[in-house]
Parts: sequence; structure tokens; C-alpha cells
Amino acid sequence: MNNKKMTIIRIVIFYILAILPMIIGTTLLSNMLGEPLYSDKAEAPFVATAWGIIGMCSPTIANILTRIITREGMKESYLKLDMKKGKWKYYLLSVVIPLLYMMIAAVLVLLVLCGDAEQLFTREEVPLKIWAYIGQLSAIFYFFLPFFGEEFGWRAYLTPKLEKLLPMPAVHLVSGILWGLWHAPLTVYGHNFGLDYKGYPYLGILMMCLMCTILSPILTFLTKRTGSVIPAAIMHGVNNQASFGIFLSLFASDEALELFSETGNETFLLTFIPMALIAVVCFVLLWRDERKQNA
Amino acid sequence: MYGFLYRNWRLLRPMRVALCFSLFYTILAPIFAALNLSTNNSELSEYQIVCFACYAMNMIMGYFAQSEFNKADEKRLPIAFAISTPAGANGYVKSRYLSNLLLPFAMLTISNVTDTIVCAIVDFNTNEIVPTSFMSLTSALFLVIMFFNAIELPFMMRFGVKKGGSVKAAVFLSILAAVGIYLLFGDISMFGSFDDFLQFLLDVMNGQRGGTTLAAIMALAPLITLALYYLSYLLSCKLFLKGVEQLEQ
Repeated sequence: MNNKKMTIIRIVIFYILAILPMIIGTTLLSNMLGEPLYSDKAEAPFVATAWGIIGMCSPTIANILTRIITREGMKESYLKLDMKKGKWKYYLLSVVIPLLYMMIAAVLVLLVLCGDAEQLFTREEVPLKIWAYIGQLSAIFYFFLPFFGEEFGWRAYLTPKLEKLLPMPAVHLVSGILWGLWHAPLTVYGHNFGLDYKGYPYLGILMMCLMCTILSPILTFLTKRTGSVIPAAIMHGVNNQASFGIFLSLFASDEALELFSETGNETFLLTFIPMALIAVVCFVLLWRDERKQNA
Repeated sequence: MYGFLYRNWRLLRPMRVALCFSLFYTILAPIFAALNLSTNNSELSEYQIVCFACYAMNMIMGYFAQSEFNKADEKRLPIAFAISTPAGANGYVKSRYLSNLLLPFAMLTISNVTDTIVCAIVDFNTNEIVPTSFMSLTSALFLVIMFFNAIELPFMMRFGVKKGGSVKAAVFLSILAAVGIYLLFGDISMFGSFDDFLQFLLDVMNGQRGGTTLAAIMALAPLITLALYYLSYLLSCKLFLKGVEQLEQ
């Protein structure tokens, strides 16, 4: 069997192993609860959190199982931990980048919704909330496993495999779509955007695919420059733990929050703009790296 | 590097049965306690104590296993071999630090995943009870372990396990003395009963007591501990070779 065929088989096995637990687990849990997993029902949050932690590890399990099934070994595992030769910069960037696009997005959303950005930091007890936000960020240290769980699958296995088959723009498009579709069971059951929005659930799935496609070059850039999946996992953690929604709910005024919840997903799309700008920069840098390597 | 880590894993061999036993009761006991929980108040506190004891014991077990592994690793010949490999002395030190981080981290992750599942079971079984999560407590324990490791390891690398252990004991005793002084002169109303104390601890950890200062400490603690651990690693890299010379004498 030639290499190309083998790579395709590996990708297919990996993806099936990654997505099957998500489909089965989410459906089973939702049926046990009698309604969607991410509803307002009292028992949902803890069940959802438990499933979140376990489900997010499925790409890692898929990575390891695929390597065992196809007798690939642990080559290109992206598990280095090296801060020398300026690599520490990328570890720092993995925290700074998501914070940067989150804050720009918050200002952008407030400008569109309220006409000014002064609606930020107007709530009482701002110092306490700033510490709560930092606490939320530093909690990534304890809950590293789920974020690592996803990135060790997508960045350390799927992306390098796709790179062997496709040109770089297509790699990020395909990996973004596959990653976004992996979230589909959760999106259908309301995890990402709830259940009550226009175009449910297709628009939600489409938005997840779009977000994952935008995030893909940034995370791949951090992985490639360090040769490690750890900065990507940290960035994924910051993106989830200290997300735009949490940032806004802690620091924006009640009026702005109300407007945001009314406009919902249309304004949420605005948050993709700063993320996309950073993604373009990362994409160009990745492209340059690839050209240098090929030269 | 992976070779060193594998070797460190092999060194844990005598402790593996104890670790498996620890994992067994950490996962099963809280789950059984949660499954048998009804809305009775006395049962609720028993369930909390079972969970607290299991998670705390699991973390402590991880710490003991790691100390045993540090002791087992203090032999001249394997260290000399490790230095001669391409990874060199720094690679060896790095592997020691990684192993000392990964074992408690694995224990923390197992405790946290079990805790989330236990909370889900309580939530699912009894709608009237708000489940108590112990994640903040286990995370604090993990930070304490990391803090002690950061202090102990450079001394251990330079002067050997015995002296490193003595420094750790001295730091531990100083902290105990500080706690003792607080118990003599401070406010000890929260120590009325074990339940009150546990509740007090959980309130503090979950940010329901203490205000901005405590929130700042809680937020910065992981970052400071991580930075301290990294600095400790850099220091150990510098001291390690001198320690090996001493070992050879």
C-alpha cells in the first residue's frame, strides 16, 4: 500500500475513533436526562462538565489507538517541552493571543451594540472580578487534560497527516471543518449556542466550523514553532476558560449584556474578526516557514 | 528524554501496587457514597467526608510514591550513565522535574475527574442536593506538593536525598509552627467540628469568604508555584553536577 493511501486510512480511522464517542456519549446522556444535555435542568451542568472532560479526551485516545492499530509508532508526537532558543515566546503568546482577540472583540461588540466601549468595567467590584478572571485563567493549570486531550488529536495527529496530502490553505480548511463537525453532537444538544436561535442547529454547526477553521492556523503556528502541542493546549484552555462570554459577563454593564443576549449569535460573529486577523498573520508566517523549508 | 521518563516510571515499580490501591478507592469509594446518598443530612456529611478523605489520601499517596522514586534514583552508576547520554545532565534533571510534576498531576486529574462524575451522580440522583465539588481543595493540595517539590529538589540534587529531605522537613515544621501559633492566638471558631472546618475550607476555596485579597492569592497561586518550580529547575541544572561529584566521593 502506498504512503498516500495509508495516510488517508489513518485519517479516516482517527476521525471515526474521535467522533464516535462524542455522538454516542452525548446522545446517551441526553436520553438519560430526558432532554438536551446543556439545558437549564438542574442536573445538566455537572453531567455536562463530566462529559466535557471525558469527551474532550477522545481525540487523544483516537490518536493513540490509530497509532497502535496502524502500527505507526510514536513518531512526530509533538510532546516536547522545551523553552530554550526563544521558544518561551510562543508559550507566552499562547496566553496573550486569545486574551488580545477577546478584548478587541469585546470592545468591537460594545461599539456596535451601544455605540461606545465605556460599557466595560462599569460594574461594581471590578478588582474582585479581575482576580476572578485571572483565577479562571490560572485554573487551566489544574484542568489541563481536556485541552491537551483535544489538541493532541487535532494538532499533533490530524494536521500533520493532512499536510502530507494537501496544500496548506486546504489543510486548515479541512482540519477546521473536521474539528468543527466533531463539535456537532454538542452543538445539536445546545452546548455552544443554546437551542433557541435562528437556523438551529445547522447555523450553529456552521459557526463552529468557521471558528475552528479560523483557530486552526493560530494553533498550528504555535505547535510548529515549538515542536510541541503544549502551547496550543494552553491557548485552547485560555480560549475556553476565559472566553468572550465570561469576559463580557464579568466586566460589561447590565445594559450591554442585555443587548448582547438579545442580538445573540449575530453579534457573536463579530468576535471572529480580530481572531481572523491574527489567523491571517499566523497563516502567512506558516506559509513563509514552509517555503523556507522547501527552498 | 522519553527514555529517562520510562526509566523513572520503572523506578516506581515497588509503589505501583500501593498506587493502584489508592486509585481503586479514590475512584470507587466516592462513587459508591454518591450512589447511596439520599437527602438525609447526616448522610450528606458522611458522603462529603468520604470524598474529602479519598481525594486527599490519593494526593498524599502520589506524594509518597514520588518521594520513594527520588530515593531510588540516588545511585552513582545510573546517574553517571544518564550524564553520558545525548540528553546530558540537564536532560536528566528535566526528566526528574517532569516526573515529579507528572505523578501528582496524574493524581490530581484522577481526583478531579472522579469528583466531577460524583457531582454528576449526586445531581442526577437527588435533585434537592447541591453537590459539593472538592476540586478546589485537591488543586490546593497539588499546589502545596509542587511548592515543597520546588524547595526540596535543588537541595536533593546538590546534597542528596537525606539533606534535601531535612530542608523540606524544616520548611514543613516552620509552617506547622505558624499554624500552631495561629491556633493559640487566632480565631478558631471555625474548628468547632470537622464538618464546620470542612465547610469553612470549601467556602474559602470557592471564593465565598475572604474577599479581594484571597481571590488574588487564589488566582496567582498556580502561576507563582509554576514560576517557582521552573526557577527551581534552572537552579538544579546548575547544582546537579556538583552534587554528582560529591556522590562520587
